Amino acid sequence: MREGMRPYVTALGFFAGFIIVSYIVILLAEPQLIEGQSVPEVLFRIIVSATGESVLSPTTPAGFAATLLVIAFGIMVVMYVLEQLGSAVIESRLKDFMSVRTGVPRDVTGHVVVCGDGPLGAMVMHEARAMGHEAVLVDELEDDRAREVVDDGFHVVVGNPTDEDVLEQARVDHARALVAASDDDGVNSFVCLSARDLREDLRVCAAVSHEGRQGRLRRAGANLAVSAETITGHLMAQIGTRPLSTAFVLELLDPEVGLDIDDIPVPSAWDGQTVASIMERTGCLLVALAPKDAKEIGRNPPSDLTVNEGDIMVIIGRSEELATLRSMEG
Amino acid sequence: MEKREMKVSDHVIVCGYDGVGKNTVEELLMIGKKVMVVAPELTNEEMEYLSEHLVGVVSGDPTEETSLKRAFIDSADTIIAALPQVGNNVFIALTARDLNPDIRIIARSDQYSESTKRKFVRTGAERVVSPYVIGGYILARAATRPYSAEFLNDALTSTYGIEINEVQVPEDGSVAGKKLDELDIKGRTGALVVAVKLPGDDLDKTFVKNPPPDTKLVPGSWVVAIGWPKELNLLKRLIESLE
Repeated sequence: MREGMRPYVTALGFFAGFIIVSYIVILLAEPQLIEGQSVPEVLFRIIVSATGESVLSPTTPAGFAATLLVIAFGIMVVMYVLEQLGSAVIESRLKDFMSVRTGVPRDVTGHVVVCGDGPLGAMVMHEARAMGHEAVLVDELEDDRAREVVDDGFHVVVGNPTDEDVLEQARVDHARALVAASDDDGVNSFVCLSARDLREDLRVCAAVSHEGRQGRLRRAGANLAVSAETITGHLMAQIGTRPLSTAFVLELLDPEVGLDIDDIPVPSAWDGQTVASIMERTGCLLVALAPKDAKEIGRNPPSDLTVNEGDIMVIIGRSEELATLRSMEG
Repeated sequence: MEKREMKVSDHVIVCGYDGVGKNTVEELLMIGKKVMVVAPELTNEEMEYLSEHLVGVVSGDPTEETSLKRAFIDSADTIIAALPQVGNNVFIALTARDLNPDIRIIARSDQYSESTKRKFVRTGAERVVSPYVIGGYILARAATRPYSAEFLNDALTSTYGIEINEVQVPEDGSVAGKKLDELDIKGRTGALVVAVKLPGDDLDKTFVKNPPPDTKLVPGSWVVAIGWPKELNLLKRLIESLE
């Protein structure tokens, strides 16, 4: 029996009990009250008694007593049943109201699917939003945690992210990218494999505990595997010998400071320009260049290299400078 | 067996030896630093490996004063508090400052908030590095700005080769007093200047990120650049060359 049905069944039980007990009481006290009547008529008389209205006409003292008893008992049962039903209705309304709106609405596209709840996953979602993308968290979340994430303005799909059906619910087929952000390399590899199975052209990124394990994640289908531990170790070790260089990088990595890095496609107006002239024109740092359709990116390209429309430039600049450059696309 | 020299100085003490600690140690060894590890519950293999490669290993709780003293904290150059627990790292920073007023303190913080940052600043930590912030930042970009993320990931791990480094302009250097555009550093060395630190204490005013072409390299300034090791070597030679 479903939990929600219980109050209704109890109410019915009480009512049936009332009818049977009343029938027996009347039979014992003054059978003439109902003798020779049809079943509906008997039922009618007993049920109406429960509202306090007497439709029985007793003539003997025992009959009067029985009628009063039936009416009193009836009123009690009616009140009790009403109370039960009322609270059941309120409870179910409340549950509806409190339940988490999980799932991804149909109009969400170009979102980032983050698999694995934890400090890293949370950071990825906030960063994705800061860059203007919707984020969906996929994990086996408790109700309270799911509600918290939804209240933060993200979408949530409750389920195991290694399960392809669960990933489909996160609308992976319409997503911009998927990030496997669990702290378990095994889980992340599995997530990458499932995601890759669903969509060959999806951008898949994964967290990996150690740089040395990058290859495994790539084989599982990740486009890029990032080891926060390796990078943290690198930075902490370098601070002593290269304090300014690390300060520069840490500023770049600090969401609250103005410097940022972005992929900017070369607009048609700049076709054939050199790296040096683009830097002069934009006042930004062009630190890498990915020629159109090339797999590899050219890091720190030479000043006299020319760029072509559709190449992707990796540019460091202040957020507002980058926003201006982005608006030149197309 | 625990390994201890008679006396070690100008070394880097790394507290904690989990993933982050291990990577820190490897990186420090690559730079050529003298390293000492203080960590509880090291396995026999770890003990053996560390004894072989480091100037010392202390198997003990790094939040205990005695453990830090056994790592010669009074003569150490830097201490890196790399435990996963933020509270322990704060405590190590406080203890370290007590035991050696001149030591450089670097801390890992797995908990990222302004209030934790403030606490670390109060302990005298020079830098606080948060793995989750860094990982989250790069992974989010990996999802939406693939090339930027790849570039960052390369520059922040020593596997690929592209690096970021800094060189100081000497008093009587040939570049002293010249402007960036006059020097055409990128054309001559290939290295890309990303920041200039002018002499002075106020970082907000003296640390110029993405410096304008007319930035003057006064003597004592530092030039921060991105490039391949070869390019950065050329840069070093150019900046440090004398008249």
